[in-house]
Amino acid sequence: MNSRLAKVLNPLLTPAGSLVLVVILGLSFVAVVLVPGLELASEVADSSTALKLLGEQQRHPTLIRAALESIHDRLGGRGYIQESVDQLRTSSSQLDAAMHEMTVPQPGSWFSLMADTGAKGRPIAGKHAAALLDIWAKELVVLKPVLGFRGVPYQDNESTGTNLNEGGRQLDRDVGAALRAGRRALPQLDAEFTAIAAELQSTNLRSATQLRVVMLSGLVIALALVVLVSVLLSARQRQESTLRLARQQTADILRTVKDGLFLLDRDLLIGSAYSASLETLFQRKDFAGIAFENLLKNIVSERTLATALKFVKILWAERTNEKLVKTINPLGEVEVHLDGGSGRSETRYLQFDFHRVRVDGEMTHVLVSISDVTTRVDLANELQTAQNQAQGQVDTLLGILHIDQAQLQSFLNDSNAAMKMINAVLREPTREEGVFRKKLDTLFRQVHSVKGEAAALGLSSIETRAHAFEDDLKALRDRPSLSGNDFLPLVIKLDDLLTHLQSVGDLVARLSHLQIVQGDVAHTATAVLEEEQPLQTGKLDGGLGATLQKLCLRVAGENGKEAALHCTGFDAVPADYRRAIKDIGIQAVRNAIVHGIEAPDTRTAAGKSRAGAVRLSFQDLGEAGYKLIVEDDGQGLSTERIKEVALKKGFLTPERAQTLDTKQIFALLFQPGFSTLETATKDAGRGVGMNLIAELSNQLGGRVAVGTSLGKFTRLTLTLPRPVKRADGADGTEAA
Amino acid sequence: MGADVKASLKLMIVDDSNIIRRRIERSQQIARLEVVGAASNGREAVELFRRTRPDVVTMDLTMPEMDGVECVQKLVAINSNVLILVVSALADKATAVDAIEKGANGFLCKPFTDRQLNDALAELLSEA
Repeated sequence: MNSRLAKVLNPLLTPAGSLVLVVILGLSFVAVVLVPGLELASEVADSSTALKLLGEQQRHPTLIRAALESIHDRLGGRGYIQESVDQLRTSSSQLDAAMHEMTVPQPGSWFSLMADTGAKGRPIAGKHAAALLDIWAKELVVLKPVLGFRGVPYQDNESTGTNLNEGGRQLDRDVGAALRAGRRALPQLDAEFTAIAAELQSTNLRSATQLRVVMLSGLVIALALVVLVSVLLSARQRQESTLRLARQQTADILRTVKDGLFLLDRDLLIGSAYSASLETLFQRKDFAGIAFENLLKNIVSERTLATALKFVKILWAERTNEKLVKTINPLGEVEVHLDGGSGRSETRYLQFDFHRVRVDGEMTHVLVSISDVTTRVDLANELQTAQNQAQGQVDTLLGILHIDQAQLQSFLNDSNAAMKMINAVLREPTREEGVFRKKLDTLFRQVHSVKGEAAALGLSSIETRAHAFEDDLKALRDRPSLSGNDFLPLVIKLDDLLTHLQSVGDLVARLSHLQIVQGDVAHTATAVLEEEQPLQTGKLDGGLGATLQKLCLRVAGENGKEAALHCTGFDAVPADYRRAIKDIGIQAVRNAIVHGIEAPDTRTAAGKSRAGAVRLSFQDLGEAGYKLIVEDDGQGLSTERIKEVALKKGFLTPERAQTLDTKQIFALLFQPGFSTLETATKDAGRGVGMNLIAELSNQLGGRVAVGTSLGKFTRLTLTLPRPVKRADGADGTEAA
Repeated sequence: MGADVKASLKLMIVDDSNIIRRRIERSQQIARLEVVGAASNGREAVELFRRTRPDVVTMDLTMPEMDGVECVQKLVAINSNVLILVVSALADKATAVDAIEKGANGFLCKPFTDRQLNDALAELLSEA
């Protein structure tokens, strides 16, 4: 039953139902309360007025009787009667007027009001009109002579005094008759009045009761109205607060969500609600109402824009299957160019997703969500780069695989030592310009030797990096003045070189591990043995011979020359000298091929073999130390050419040039930065090689001698003492 | 078609590659889909379409004689209720969008797996 009641009440409790209820209650209030209430109230007011008037009329019969009795008494006492006669006239004329009003209905008079109050159109007074008129007419007949009396009713007589005259006697009789008649008529009149008053009273009472009922029902209806209105108001308030809460939540979502969100209508205009991050994504404000086209204009290519607009339009076609067109979304991952402020263009990658929005099955909007996928795209690119790098590593690895392990290990050891040295030089605090220059020369020599050896081994990736480092050093050397800050960029290049060397080292380590696993014992044993007990057997020259052979082949090939290298005695190089001898050997072979050996055609023309010969020999001289001889059968050294270059490059003043002897001229070759080549290649031209040789030989406490015959040969002879035990073989500060 | 209890739908394959045509024919496993023909260019497709009245069409875009976009337009003009799945490489999104604009219903990217093909066909039919 409750549920049935609820079923009936439920529609009424909805806002619309309640509103209808309020209107019905209002109308019924008007119909049930206001109209009858007004009628009843006017009835009550009317009957009250009538009662009041009736009360006024009711006293007239008594007054008439009193006036008649007063006239009668005064006539007896020969008193003054005029006053009483006037009283009689006033009362009777007023009563007459009232009678007239009560019996002849006139609009607006109290009688007519009274008439209206009668039930069902029967005027209360009307019922009594005939009786009233009849009684009053009779009364009026007897009153008329009295009312018509004029003059004085007395005559004076000297003997008898004042007596009634003829008129007076007549008046006395008339008054007596009126009094007698009045004794019957006046109470009748009074009774009629009383009856009317009683009826009026009861009508009034009835009306008042009805009015009370009406008022009470009015009160009930008003109360119901108040309750209903307050229920409606509270419902509305609840609804509003729910709505406000929902709106707040929507606003919160839109403010917080990371994606750009907005709705597009059928005209591709952006709706008024959109997420705050849209402003960040597009670096603009006020999106409401702007066209989708304008949002994308100038930040994506025109072609993409055209396709994108078409794409959004096809979403509106019901034919289109939303899921099956996602892959052709041209804004799935789009590169945008945004104005990053101050005119700088910023490139980002955005991902647009489009979703149909339906209300009751009808498509109303397209929801667009946009996220910044720049990081993801960048990561993908980085991954690609990393893959490329890995590929590069594989290439390096393959390169390494072709190099003899012992050579490689020795190169890495030497390079690490060189790097340590470079690092130490860079860190060494200095202020003087001269010291800076000296530092630069030391760095040059170290890097150059690493480069040379890398080139000899065919490790082009290391060679390239070392060359780039050299380029920086060269730029520094060419500066008119130097300060400590100028060395800072070198650290970065050095780091690059170091990292690369490190990765090659790691690769080698992994490789040797791999080889152990694979059971390539013989090969690994060589590397391990070489590492632990370098040069214990005479056969092992640390791969020096092979390194130089490789270098010879490469340098000759790259310089368009042919050369054969002959090495002897390298297995006698003591461990302490290995590094230095290798560096010297590399520089010397390089110099021999680049500067000494002529091009094959030149050689043929000169009656020599096409291929030049470079001979390196290392001899143990016993107590006297060691001797290293590097000789090529090339063009020899031209003192004139050396002088010319020295003058041109500012190593010599013309005056000084005049006084130099051959030995002094050859000494110029060992100056840092001296080179007879115009441009530097990887192999020569920086003026480092010869300087490096001199420097290394100095460090070991040796001497360098140059022997040459123009067109026939050039020979470098290094004499080195026997090694003394030193803490660090690569210490460059000790000079002999 | 409503009279047919099994409600089988007719499928036409349009692709200039014989391999792709055979691939689609063999891989499609939608129970109520029955291959009624295959065409290797747009002109052939329109002819075959008139004759066999297929309900579903897979459509290549780059073909000789008449390309896919034009073909889509013609087929939709003949029967506006036909369901067309564009099957093409994703090199040119603009052309794919054009085909959809002309009335194709969806897009499947070449190369595709059997599963992708069947999912796409099922999705296409789900809205029919």
